[in-house]
Amino acid sequence: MTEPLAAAFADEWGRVVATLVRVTGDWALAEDAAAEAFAAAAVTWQRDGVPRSPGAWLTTVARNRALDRLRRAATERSALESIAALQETRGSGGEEDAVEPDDVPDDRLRLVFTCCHPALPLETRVALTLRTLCGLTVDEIAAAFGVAEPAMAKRLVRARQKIQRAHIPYRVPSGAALPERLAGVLAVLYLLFTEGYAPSGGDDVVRPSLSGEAIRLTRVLATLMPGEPEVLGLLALEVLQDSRRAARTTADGALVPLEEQDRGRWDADRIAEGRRALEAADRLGGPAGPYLLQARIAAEHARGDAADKHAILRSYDALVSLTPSPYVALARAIAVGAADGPDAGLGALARLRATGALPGNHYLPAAEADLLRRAGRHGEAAAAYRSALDLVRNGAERDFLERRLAEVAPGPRP
Amino acid sequence: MQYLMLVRVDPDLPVAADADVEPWVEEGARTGMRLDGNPAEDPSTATTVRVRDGETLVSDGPFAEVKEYVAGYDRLQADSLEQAVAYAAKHPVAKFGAIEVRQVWEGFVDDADDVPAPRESGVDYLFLHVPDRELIKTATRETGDPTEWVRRIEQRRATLGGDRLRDEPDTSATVRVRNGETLITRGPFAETAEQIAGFDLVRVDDLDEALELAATHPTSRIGAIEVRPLVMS
Repeated sequence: MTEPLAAAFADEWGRVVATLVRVTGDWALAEDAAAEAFAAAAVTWQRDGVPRSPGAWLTTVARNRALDRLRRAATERSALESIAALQETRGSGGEEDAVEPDDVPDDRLRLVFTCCHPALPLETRVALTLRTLCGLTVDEIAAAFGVAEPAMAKRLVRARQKIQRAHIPYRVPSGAALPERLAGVLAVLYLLFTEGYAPSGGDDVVRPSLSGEAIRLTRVLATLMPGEPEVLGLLALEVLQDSRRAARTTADGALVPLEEQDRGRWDADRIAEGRRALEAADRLGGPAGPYLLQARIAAEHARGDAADKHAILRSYDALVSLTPSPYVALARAIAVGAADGPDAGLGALARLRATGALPGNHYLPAAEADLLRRAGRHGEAAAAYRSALDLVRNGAERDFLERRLAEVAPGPRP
Repeated sequence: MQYLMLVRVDPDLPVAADADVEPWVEEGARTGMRLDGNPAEDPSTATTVRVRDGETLVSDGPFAEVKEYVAGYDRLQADSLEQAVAYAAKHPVAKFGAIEVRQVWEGFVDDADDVPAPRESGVDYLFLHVPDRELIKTATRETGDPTEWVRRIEQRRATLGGDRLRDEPDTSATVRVRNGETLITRGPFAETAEQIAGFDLVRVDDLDEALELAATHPTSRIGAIEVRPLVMS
């Protein structure tokens, strides 16, 4: 794909599909017509250059392709109605005589809310978002999920069928339903980001394409919903975490902990974008939600040695009261260790362990090991690293733990 | 007496060659035994709603994976369970599934005067009420009473009817026909741990409105409500 086309693809795919879904009510048709329009663009733009308004060009062509398909299949009244709706919006001239983008309402917000509808299984929400909003192919999504292509295709077909047959509305929820549904959308985007950032299995610490897609979509959402502090909070959190992507692993893929990272490799543009989003969220005011709090923590970490460890701990305290998750409690305990010393952190971890939280998970023993190492209690640290190693699944994290174990327990492994 | 018939299809059994429901429907119209009925979209379109600690939990799929899944319903009028079962046994799906026949608990919710007619257009859903065996013990007469909910959906013009079902052994039966032989099991459908205790037919704008209604029904707090779209003709 040439560069202008690739850029248009990334920017316009979701918009084109969203418009076509609204006009035809048919998800599969919308995707097929969009795919045909992008294929046509690959030929025409190569020859004639990229049009002034690529999005309008693509939308018009996709509409015409959908119209042709519906005409061929027009046997039902509903299909004929769709044709009428399409004809109303069809420009009078040829494909080049495209409608101006301002005439086209941005339907992507509806598409986001429908893809992330709670009546769909969580994994399907992520997959459907990648397909319809980001334009990833079924093959690419299947690879990202580690499943076979036919299985992913089947899952997506089932999702479209459920949307259609169960009448999941193509609408942005309003009133009391909005905050809960928006939280669901943000959860899907963050899951997409973290699966790209730290996949739960396999050896790649970072799958940049997925986190990149998540950031792009979150930016779109922040543009479409500028009054929602949590959307800005999520955007800030994602770009701040992503700013450390290059520094987070060595050339051979090994994990580098935050305090050992080469700060010259942190992405200053990303950090600046994160701070701008945080400032915009703060201007909106109101109590900080979980994403905003996490973004504040990430922004503080981005200051390197100047980070205010007690400010980080205060954000964690607020976060713990909002989201009673053992992972948040674990992160808070680590923050206690950083702010008030390893012994205080170990105390917080011991209280967490006493609740029976995080069984079978390597994070708790790994955190204990780290604080024990800092406290100079190397024997206990080695035992804790070994416990963590028994439980860890991600290959890069395993390598990191083994390196740490070698530091506190030199010599050949028993 | 009124009965609810749940038509359950076993996808592993071949559809009978003579599986035409029309003669059965015509017989019901002639005898006055069949009041109405509709096919439901398949279980993959189902959504299940629970409310726990004030939080609405929405999940994809039916309340329980069961081989003989609910494919539709019919409402019957009969003099006795035996008469209802005899008619149900003639339903074509009895040969490749099971027909659950349940006596309606008439008068469980008082009839209201001046109920506005349901809206003329919308999407129809079948609600299957499935109380949890343990949680139902926590329900009191007040917290478990659906009357207020019924009044509310009547005023919203969103109900096409609904009933609590009786669950005594002599008020329900499950019918299968295999190799020409009619097999009758007393009591509600026994293949799932939890049993369907009631149903509602609602007409709303879309799934969001259906889920909102389900989440405010007492059953969602003491169990689950499966929301199934009906096949729109």
